[in-house]
Amino acid sequence: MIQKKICVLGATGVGKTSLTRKFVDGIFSEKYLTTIGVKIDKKIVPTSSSDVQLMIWDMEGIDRYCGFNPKYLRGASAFIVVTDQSRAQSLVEGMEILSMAREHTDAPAILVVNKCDLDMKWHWREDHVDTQAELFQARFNTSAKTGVQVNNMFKSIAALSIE
Amino acid sequence: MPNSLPDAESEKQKLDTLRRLLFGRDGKELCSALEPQAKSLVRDVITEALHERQNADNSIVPVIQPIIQSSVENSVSQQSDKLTTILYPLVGSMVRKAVAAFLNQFIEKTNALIENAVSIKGWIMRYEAWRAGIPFSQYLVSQAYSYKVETVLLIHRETGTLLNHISNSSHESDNADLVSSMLSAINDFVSDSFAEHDNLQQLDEVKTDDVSLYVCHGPNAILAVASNGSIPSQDRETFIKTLEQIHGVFSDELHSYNGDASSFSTVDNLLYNCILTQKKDANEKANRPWFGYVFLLLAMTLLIGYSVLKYRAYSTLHSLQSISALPGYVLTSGRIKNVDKVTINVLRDPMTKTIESWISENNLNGKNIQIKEQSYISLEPEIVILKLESVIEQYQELSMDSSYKITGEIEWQKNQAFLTELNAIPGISQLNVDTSLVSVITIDKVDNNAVLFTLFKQYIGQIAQTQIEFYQNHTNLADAAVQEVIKVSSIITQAQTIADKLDIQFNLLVIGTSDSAGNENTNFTLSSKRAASVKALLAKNKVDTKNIFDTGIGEVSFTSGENAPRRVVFNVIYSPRDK
Repeated sequence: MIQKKICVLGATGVGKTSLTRKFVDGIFSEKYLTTIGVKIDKKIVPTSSSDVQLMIWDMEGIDRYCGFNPKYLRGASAFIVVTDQSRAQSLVEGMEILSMAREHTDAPAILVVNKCDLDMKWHWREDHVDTQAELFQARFNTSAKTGVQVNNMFKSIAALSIE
Repeated sequence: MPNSLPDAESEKQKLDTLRRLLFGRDGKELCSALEPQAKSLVRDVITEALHERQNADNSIVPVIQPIIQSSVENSVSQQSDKLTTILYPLVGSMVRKAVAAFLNQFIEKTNALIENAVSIKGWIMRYEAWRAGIPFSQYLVSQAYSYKVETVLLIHRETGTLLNHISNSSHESDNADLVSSMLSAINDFVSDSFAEHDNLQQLDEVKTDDVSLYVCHGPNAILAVASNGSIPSQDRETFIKTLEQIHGVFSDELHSYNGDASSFSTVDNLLYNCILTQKKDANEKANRPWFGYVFLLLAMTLLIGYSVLKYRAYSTLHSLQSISALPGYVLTSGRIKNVDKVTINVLRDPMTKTIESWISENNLNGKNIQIKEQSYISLEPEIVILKLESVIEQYQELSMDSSYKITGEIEWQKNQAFLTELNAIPGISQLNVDTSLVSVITIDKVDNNAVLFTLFKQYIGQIAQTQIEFYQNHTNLADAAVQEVIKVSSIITQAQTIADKLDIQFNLLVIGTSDSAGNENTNFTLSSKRAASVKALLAKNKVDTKNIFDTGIGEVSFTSGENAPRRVVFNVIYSPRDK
C-alpha cells in the first residue's frame, strides 16, 4: 500500500487537532504536540486508483512569535493550512504560514476554513477568500464538530498526494 | 610540443577506427563473436564469481532468495504431484524428527513453566515483571538474555514512512508505521533542538530500564533496532553493515521511492541479520554479590525491627491517650522516648484505679511505659458518685437509690458525722442528694445503759470544752456568743435527758471570769453578771436550770493585763442519785 506524508498547519486554536481527531483514532498522546511540536496519526483512504495510507503530521499551532520546524515538512506529499472563520486574523496567519511553507516545499496544499458550524465572524468577503484560495490546489469549508466536509477534504488531499 | 596534440588526437582517432573494425559499432561485432561462447565462459566462472561476491558483501543471498522463493512457490502451485513424489520419502523422517523435537521442547517448556509457576523464584520473577510493567514472558526473556533484538524498522529518511520491519516476537505491532514516523519526528526534533552551528545532531541511542533503541542513519534510509538489554558496540556494527548493504542493493528503489513500500518486501532477508541475541553467562549466578545481599538483609531486618518497635510505641501511646476520656484522669502530655519507650504525665483523682492497673487491664506492656502521676480532685459526676457511694458504704444503716435518695435509720451522732462527710465531698451539690428520708434516732429511743453512759460522757466533754467569749467590760452576749450558747443548750438538754434515764444527779456550774482591768470588786461583779447572762440565755433556750448554778470568780490571771480571759466556762458535776 502506498503511504503518503501529509502535514496539517495553521494558527493556534483553529482546530487542526480536532479535524485530525475527527478523521482518525490516534494512539499517541496529545502531549507530543506540546513536547516536540508534532503528533502523527494514520488513516487509510480509498482513492480512484488505489488505497493510500495517510501519515498525518498534526503540527503545533503556529503564531507570529513561534514558527514551525521546517524539517517536519520534509518529504510531505501534500499539506493542509487550516483557518478559523470565527477569527479574521487566522486567514492572514494562514497565508503567512503558506508563504513560510513554500520556502521549503512545492507540495500541493489545501485551504481549510474550519468551524463552519459557527456564525461567520470574519469580515473577509467571499471573493477575497476565493482570491486567497487560488494559491491552493483546493479549498474546503469544514466543521470538526459536525464532521461536515472533513472526509471529503482528506479524500481530496489523498488524491492530490498521489498525483 | 605544439605538434604533439594533433598527433595524440590522430592516435586516438586511429584507435577508435581500429575498435570499430574489430568490434563493430557499439561492440556489436564483438558481442556476436562472443555469443556462441558466452555460456561456456559464464559456466566456467559463475560458481567462483557468486562465491567471491557473497564473501565480499553478502549481497548474493538477498538477491537470489526471493527468486528461489518464487520458484518454489510456482513449483508447489503448478507441479505439486511431482514435488509430493520427490518429498514423500523425506517427509516421513522429517515428521518423526519434528514430532520428537516438538515433544522435547514441550516437556522442557512444561518443566520450566511448573518450576517458574510454583517456585519462590517464579513468584519473585512474576513480581518483578509486574513491577516493571511488562508481560511475564518478556521478563523471562530479559532474564535469560544479555540482550535480544525484538524489532527492526527500516524507515525512509525523507518521508519518515516505514519501508519494512521484522519482529522477533510472536505478535507483530500494527503501529510500526506510526512508530517510524514518530521516531523520524523525534529525530528531527533532537536534530533541531541540539544543533550547534552547522553541526547536525542525530539520535543514535534511546535507553529505558528495559529497552534500548539504536538508530543508524544512511543517506536515504534509517535503520532502527529495538532490543531488550544493551547491545555492545562491536555487535552494533552489524546494523551499520546491514544498512550499507540495503543502500547498495536497493539503491534504485530508495531513490525512486514514492510511498509504495512493496519494492522493499524482500529487504527482510537483510533485516534478519540484525536479529541478534546473546544469552547470559551461566556463571553469572556465581558472581552474585552475596555480601551485598547479607548487608541488605541485615539492613532490612533492622529497618523492620525499628519500624515494629516504633509502631508498637505509637500504638501504646495512642492507647494511653484514650485514658483522658475516662473520668478522673487527665493525660497532660505523652511522648515516645528511645524508639520504644513511652513517657506520660497524668493527673489522677485518688478515687480512680491506679494507672498501672488500668495498663494491666488493657494488656499494655507496662515495662515500656514511664508514668509521672499527680493527684487532683475531679468534679466529674462519675467521680462524685463514686465518692458518695464510698461514704454511704461506711454507714451500713443507710442506702441510696439511683436518684441519690438516701434512706435508713441512723443515730443522731452518726447522722451528724455522715452529714459532715457528705458535705465535704467536692462537687456534691451537682447531684441533688436527698437526705430528708433519713430517720434520725434520738437519745430517748436508746435503751442500752452502757451506750447511754458513753454518750453522756461525750456530752459532758463537749459541754466542758465550750467557752463563751465576752467583750471587755461587757456582760451582754455578742452574736457569736449567743450562737455558742444555743449550741451548748441542745447538748445540755441531751445530757440532762440521759442523766434522768441513768438516774444520775446532773449539776452544772456556769462560771464567769474577767480580765484584770479595773478593780477587783468590779471585776467580780462583772464575772457574776456574765455567768448569770449565760444561765438566763440557757433558760430561754428551754434548758432546765433547776440544777444549774451560776457564779463569778472575778479576775483570772492566766495571762497578764487585758488579754486575760473574759468568758464563761462550764463544769458538770454528776453523781448517782440517792435512792
